[in-house]
Amino acid sequence: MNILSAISVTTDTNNLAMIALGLGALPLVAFMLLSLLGKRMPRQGDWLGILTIGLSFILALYLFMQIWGKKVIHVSFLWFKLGSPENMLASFTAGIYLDNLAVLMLVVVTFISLLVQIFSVVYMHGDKRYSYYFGYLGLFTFSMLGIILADNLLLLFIFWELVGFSSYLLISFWYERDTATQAGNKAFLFNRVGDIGFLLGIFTLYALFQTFDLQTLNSFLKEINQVGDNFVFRLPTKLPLSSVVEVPRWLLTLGGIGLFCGCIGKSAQFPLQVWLPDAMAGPTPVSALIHAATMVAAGVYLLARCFSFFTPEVLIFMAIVGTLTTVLGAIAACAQYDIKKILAFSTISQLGYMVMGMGVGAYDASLLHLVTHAFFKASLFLNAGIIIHAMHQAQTLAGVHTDEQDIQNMGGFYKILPLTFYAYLPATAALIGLPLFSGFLSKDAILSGAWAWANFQGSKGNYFFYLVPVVGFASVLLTGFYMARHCFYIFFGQSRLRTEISVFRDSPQKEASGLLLIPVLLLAVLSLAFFFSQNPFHYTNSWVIQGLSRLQLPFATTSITAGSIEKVSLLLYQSSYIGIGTAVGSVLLGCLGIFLAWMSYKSFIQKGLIQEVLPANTFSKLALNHFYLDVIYGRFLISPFLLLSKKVAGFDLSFIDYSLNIFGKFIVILAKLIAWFDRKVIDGFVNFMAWLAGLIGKLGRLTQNGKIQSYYVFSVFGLIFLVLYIIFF
Amino acid sequence: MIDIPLTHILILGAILFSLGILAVITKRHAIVVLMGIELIFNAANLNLVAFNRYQPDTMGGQVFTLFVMVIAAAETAVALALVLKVYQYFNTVNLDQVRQPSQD
Repeated sequence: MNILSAISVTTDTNNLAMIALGLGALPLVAFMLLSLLGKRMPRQGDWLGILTIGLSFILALYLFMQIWGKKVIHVSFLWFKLGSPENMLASFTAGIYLDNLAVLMLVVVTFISLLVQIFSVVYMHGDKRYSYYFGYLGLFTFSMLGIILADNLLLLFIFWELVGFSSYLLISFWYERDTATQAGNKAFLFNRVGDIGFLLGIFTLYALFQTFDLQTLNSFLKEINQVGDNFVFRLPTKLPLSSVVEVPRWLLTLGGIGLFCGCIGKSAQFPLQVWLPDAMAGPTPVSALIHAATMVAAGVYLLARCFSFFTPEVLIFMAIVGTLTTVLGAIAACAQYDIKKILAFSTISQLGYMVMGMGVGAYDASLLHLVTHAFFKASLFLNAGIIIHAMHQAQTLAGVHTDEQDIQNMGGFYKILPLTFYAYLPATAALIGLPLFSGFLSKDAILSGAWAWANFQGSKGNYFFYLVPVVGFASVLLTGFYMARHCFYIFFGQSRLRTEISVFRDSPQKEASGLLLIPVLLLAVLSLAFFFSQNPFHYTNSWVIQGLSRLQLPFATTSITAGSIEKVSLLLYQSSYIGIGTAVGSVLLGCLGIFLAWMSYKSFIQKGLIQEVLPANTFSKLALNHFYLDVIYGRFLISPFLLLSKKVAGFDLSFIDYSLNIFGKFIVILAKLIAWFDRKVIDGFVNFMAWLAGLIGKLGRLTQNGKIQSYYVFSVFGLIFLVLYIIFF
Repeated sequence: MIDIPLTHILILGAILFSLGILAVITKRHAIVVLMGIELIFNAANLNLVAFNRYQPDTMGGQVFTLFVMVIAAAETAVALALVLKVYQYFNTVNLDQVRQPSQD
C-alpha cells in the first residue's frame, strides 16, 4: 500500500491501520463465504459469522486500548486521479481515520453485532435461508464499520449507501410477506430522499474546498474569519489554489443542511422518520442491530464527523428538527400496542434527542447518548424478541391465532420469563432515565446542554429557544409513560393469552435457550451507569464525555459558530446548577410518567379484555396513526406522483408510441417492396442462371447415355461435319 | 478387261461404307455390328485398290489391302473374343442391354 499521509506514518501507525482494515474486512469475508457456500457448511455456517464478528470485536477492543485517549491515526493512500499527469484535475484519496470516536463506535458496533448474531442462532433456527441471514448480517456490519473507518466523505457515502442496501436486504428478509417487502422498499426509498441532500452537501463542500478528506476540511475550518456575510478561509499553501477562499455564508449553510439531510434519512428524523416503524417487519434481532446501534446511529455519527462544518443556522435547524422528532416519536409511542412499534417510536424519539443534542452544541453528550442508547435499546429489542418467541410458541401449542406482537395479549411474563424480566428492567430504567442507569447520564447531559444553549441564546432576548429544552423535558415524561406502560402490559398481572406457564417456556426448568438469554443479560448489565462514569450521578465524570469532548479536539476552536459551541460546553461543565436542576427535574418527570402509566394500566385491567381499542379522541387517533404522516405522504406526494406517471405513460402511449408505430409500419411496407424486388429480380436472375446451367448439363448428359452406337453416330456426324468444313471453308 | 470408270468403283465403296455405317448404327446384335465394321473395311479396301490405278507399275494399293484384311481378321478375332466374354458376363449380346449393372 502506497501511503501518503499528512502526518508521518510510522510502522506502529501503519500496523494499527492494517488491523482496522482487517477488522472491517472480516465481516465481508463472512458475507462472501456464507452467500456462496453457506448452505453446504456444517450448521449452515452460523459459526463463521459469529467467529468473524467475534474476531472483529477482539480487534476493535485492541484498537480501543491502543488509541483511546492516546493518539489519532490517519492513514490514507492515493485512490485515483482524474486528468493526465501534466494536467491534473483532481486526485482522490481513501484511508482510515481512527480517533476516540471511531474506536468507541467500532467497539459498540462489533459488540452489538456479535450479540445479535449469537441471539439469532436460536431465534432464526430452522429458517429456510438461515445462512443468507448471517451473510446479510455480515454485509451490514461491514458497511457500518466502513462508515466508521472512512476518512473522507466520498468513501463514507459509499458505505452509507451500502448500509442502506444491506438494511433493505435485512428488513425484507422474509420476502414472502408483503409487509416486509414493502417496509424494505419504504426504508430504502426514504433513505434515498435524505441521501440526495447528503450528496448535494458533499458536492457543495467539494466545490468549495476541492477535497473530501475530513481532516483536511477540518483544518481549513480552523483558519476561518468572518468578513461581512462571507467566510474567509486560509488554505494550506501546498494545494494548487489561491491561498485564500471566500465562501458565502448561505452556501456553507446550504451545504450543512444537505449533510444534515443524510442524517434525517438515516437517523429517522422528522419528516422522514416514517420508514422506521414499518421496518419492524424484519426479524427482531435485525431490528435490534439496525435500529439500536448501527444504521440509525450512522446519521448521528455523520453529524459528529461533520460537526465543524455546520453554521449556527444549521445547528438551530438541527435542534428544531431533533426536538420535533423527539416529541412526535414519544407521543406516537404512547398510543401503540405493538411491542416492537413502541420500541421503534421510542428509537425515533431518542434519536431526536441525539440530534437535538448535536444542534444545541452538546456534541459529547449526544454521542454519550448514542453509546448508552445502543446498549439499552438493543437489550430491549432482544427482550422483545424473546417475548415474541415465547408468544409464538404458546400460540402454536394452544392453537390460537391472535396478534403475537400485541401487548394487550401479553401479561404475566414476570412469572413466565423471570430472567428476561430482570434483563428488561435495567434497560427500561435506562431509557426512562432513572438514576444509576446509563440513560440518566446521557439524557441529562443533552437536556442540560439544551438548557444551557437556551440560556445562551435567550440572553440575546429571544425566549423561543427555551421551547427546545421544555419540549425535551416533556418528552421525558412521555418516555416514562410509554416505557412503563410497555413494561406493565407485558410483565405484570396474568397472561391474557394462556394461564399455563409451561406453554411459553422451553422447559419447566429453563425459560429460554441460553444463547437467547446471555446477550440480553450482558446488555442489561451494560445499561448500568457504572460502566460509563465513575460517578453514576453526574455526566461530567463520564469517561466517554471526557474522551469525546470537543474542547480536547485539535480543531475545537472553530469560529464558524462564533464561539457559541464553546460557551455551551463551558456552561455544561461549569455551572453545576443546570446539571442538578435537569437531573432532579427529569427524574421527577420520569416518575410522573411511570405513575400515569400505572393508572392507565389499572384502568385497562379493570375494563377487562378488550381486543380492539378504538382511539377515544382525535389526539390519540393522531398519535396511533403517527400523525397521519404516511397518509400525508401518500396523498400529497405519492398519489400525485403516480398520477403524473400515469399521465406521462398515457402521453408515451398515445403520442410517442403512436408515431413510432407509424414509422414502423412505413418501414415494414418499404421492406416488403424490397423483399419483392429481391425475390423477383435478383433471385430470379440467379435462379435463371442455375436453370440454364442445369439445362446445359441435361443436354450434355443426353450424349453420355452409355450406348456405344450413339457414340458412334456422334463420331460419324462429327466426321461428316469435319469433312464438310474442310470442303466448304 | 473392261475398263470400269473410277467413279463407279468409288460410288460402290461409298455405298458399301454407308451400308456398313447403317449396320453398325442400327443393329442390336453385336456380331451383326462387327459385320458392319467388316463392310466399312471392305469399302476402304475397295478405295485403296481403285486408287492404285494412278500408280500402275506398283501394287501398293493391293498389298496394303492384303495387310488391312489380315489385320482386320486379327481384329475380328479379338472382337469376337470380347463378344464372347460379354455374352458370358451379361448373358446377352444385345447392345441395348449391355450396360454396367450399377448404371441401372
